[in-house]
Amino acid sequence: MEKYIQDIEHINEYINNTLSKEERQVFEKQLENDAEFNSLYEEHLTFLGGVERIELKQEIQTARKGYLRTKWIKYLVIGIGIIGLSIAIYSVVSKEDPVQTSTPTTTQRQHTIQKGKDAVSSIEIKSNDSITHIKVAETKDRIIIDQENQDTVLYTNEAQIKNPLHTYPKKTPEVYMINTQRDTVIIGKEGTKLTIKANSFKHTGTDEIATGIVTVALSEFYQLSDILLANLSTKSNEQLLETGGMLYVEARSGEALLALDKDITIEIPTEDKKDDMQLFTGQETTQGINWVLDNASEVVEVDELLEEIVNVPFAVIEEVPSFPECQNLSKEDQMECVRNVFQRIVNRSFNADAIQRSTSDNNLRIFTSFTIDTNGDITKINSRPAFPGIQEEVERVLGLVPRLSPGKQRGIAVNTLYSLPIFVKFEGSTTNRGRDVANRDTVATRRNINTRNQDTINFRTSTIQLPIITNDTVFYGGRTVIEDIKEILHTNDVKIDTAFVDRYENYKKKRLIQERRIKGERYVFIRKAVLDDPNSGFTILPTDSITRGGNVIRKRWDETQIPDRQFARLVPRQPGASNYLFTASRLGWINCDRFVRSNTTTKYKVKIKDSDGTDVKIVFKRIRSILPSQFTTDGFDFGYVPKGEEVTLVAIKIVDNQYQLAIKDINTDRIEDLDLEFKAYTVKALQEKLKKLNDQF
Amino acid sequence: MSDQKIMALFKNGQRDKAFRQLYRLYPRIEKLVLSKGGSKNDAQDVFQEALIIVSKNLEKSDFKLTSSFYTYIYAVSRFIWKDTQKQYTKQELHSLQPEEVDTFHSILKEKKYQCAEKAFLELGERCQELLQLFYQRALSFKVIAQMMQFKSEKIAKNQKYKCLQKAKDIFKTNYKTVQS
Repeated sequence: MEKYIQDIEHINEYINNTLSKEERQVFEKQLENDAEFNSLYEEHLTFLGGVERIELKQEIQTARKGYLRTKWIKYLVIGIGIIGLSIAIYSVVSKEDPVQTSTPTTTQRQHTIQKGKDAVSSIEIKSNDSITHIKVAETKDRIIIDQENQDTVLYTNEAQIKNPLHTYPKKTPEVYMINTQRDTVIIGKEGTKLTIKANSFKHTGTDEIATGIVTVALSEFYQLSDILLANLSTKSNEQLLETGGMLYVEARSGEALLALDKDITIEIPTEDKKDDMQLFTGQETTQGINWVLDNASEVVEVDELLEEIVNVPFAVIEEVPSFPECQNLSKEDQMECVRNVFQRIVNRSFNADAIQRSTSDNNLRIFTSFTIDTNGDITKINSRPAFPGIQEEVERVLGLVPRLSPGKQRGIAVNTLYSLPIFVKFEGSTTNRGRDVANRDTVATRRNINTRNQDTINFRTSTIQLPIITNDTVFYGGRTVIEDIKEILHTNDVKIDTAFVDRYENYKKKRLIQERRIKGERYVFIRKAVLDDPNSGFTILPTDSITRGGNVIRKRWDETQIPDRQFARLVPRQPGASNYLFTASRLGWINCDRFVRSNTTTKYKVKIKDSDGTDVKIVFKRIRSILPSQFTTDGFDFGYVPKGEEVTLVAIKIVDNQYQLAIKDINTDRIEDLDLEFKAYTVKALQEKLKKLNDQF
Repeated sequence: MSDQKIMALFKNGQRDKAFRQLYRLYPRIEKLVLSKGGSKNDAQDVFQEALIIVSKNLEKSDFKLTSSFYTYIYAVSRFIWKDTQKQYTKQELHSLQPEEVDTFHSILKEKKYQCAEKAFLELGERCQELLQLFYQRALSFKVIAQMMQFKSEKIAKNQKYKCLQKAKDIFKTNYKTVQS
């Protein structure tokens, strides 16, 4: 031990260079000759190397921490810098990019619209005579410009001066400046949506495609007051129309009026969607606009179903899942028939005894929903049970339903979502009755149903007692675990079923598949075990990096490579949320209408005293229709009108340069001889007065 | 910062600052290791090893940096990774350039030191502290005895040798099993 200590001390002295020259020589000689001493020396050097490593490692770790810290600070600074820079660029660009525009009204004005890339801004622009608020919203491929112009322009046309309304200020159009190079969506103030593809406009005469900035003027006539003041009515030749909305669209390049080269799609909002709507185009006549059916255009249902929608609601499915007895009927009848079958089976078989009721409320609503799968079997029954026994009973009853034919979408069997509200009414007093009593009652009432020999049915189930909620199908894009897996698999052409998702989730749980982020890029780490399993669905790709252990590090595809999936969802219809969608091949006056079919029509006239130069129209209360009249010596002639309709008569004339208005509720059964009380109104007040009628229309 | 400045930092004993500068090269080394199928942790280990080798070599008087730090560290890292993967072919070993041979030797030597380090870390905490105070901070036994509350300088000295002996014993057994 002593010798060892001495030797080590000696070696340390040598390493630390504290020996004299002679001593060093002796030491080195000893190293050469004394093998034991030599190995001790080497050993000690190794040990010192090891100890040194510890120190170095500590230093490197502190360096690493410092490095990471500065890295984050750098990112932060760069981030702030980028934000600052983009703000700066934005403000510079928006100053340097003025677009000259002009509104197609009779007065000429110069506006400057400021646009920034991918930015939404609200800019106040001062023009010569008014302040115009313009909202500019630019996204990748759509520009929505909403302009609110308070100017009023007097409409003068010598030929039509007779009608008092021709002098009424025209409703100011909303003017949109659009870039013809891009697809554009214009959403009007009252909800009209125009979808204009790139290069849709051509010059009239030359048929040259218009380029650059085109001004589109849109006037919406949905409100009764707007329709009346624009001297519009709903008449196609001699036939009465019911309107879904009227509008006027024009496009100009500079001053030149443009025509359409490609069809544009127009969506008109409606709160109350009606069938058989058709597109009419307006022709100006001396008596106003006459609507002519536009055969080239077609109103289409908003029914854009996309691939990969597996669950389709019953209400919107193309081919209804059906029972044998309901085949060979029209779609609507088939739906009704299927509903009736369900109702019948529930009525006949639902046993209220099974429900362990714990409330004295005699009315019980069970909102059952289920899926009719691609085989036509009923699955995924959910009754949202409020009491025990409900779910079991609903399942039992639905188990009695015979197999249906599956619902189909574009010829392919899909899952159909069906909701079946069951309304159970217990008879008897509501005061704290025991369950047994309740049961006895319902047993009795059940007998009533089965025998069907009594008028009073005390307990019944029904699908129609609840108010029917009108739903709209909304399609939206979304991403789920399926897109997640597709990103990892680097392919979109793979079917990912529930089993696959389960396997994947399981792998993740076991950490056989792990997410990695390397320099901000998304990677996945897939263990060998997964890749070795032939049923896993995961295989090695040519682009993979493979680790020593046979595991795979794979860069994920980004979201753009796997598109969003489309889902259908039913939402209760919001007022104004629905719309008529159609394509228009012509601009100008457009009206979405349907013919009013009436079996009993009558020739209808109204006599009004002191009515020279008066415009008289009737507005129907039951339907969205307006009829103009023709002044004859025998009163105002409305032609043939449906009998027995409640209508509002609106008469407008000009006396001493002032508008006079009279309103009167009448019925088309009686031919009236009226003495109207006219009141004078200013331009603004006339509009306000007519607006009060809007609600009834 | 230029390579010369980093060199100067090493020479001035500001090794920590030098390491911090060199850490900027880490992302590129990480890329290398990842591209060869290693993990992020592997990359960190490789880079740390490379820095140790570089710093040790820089302390040698006869060492000259013939290329940039990046090239050098990259080459060393590549070797280290290959070494951990045991992926040398005989041909590769035969056709090594002289500088590469040096690097190769450094790595082998460092592996030995790694074993020593492991052995050291297997010691008790007190032994580790004692040895570090003596060898790293180069304190005298007198101070060490005071700091670690040994009764006398001599006990501290004896204790140190015992610890040293123990470390070497652990190393010998470990190293043998590694080599065999």
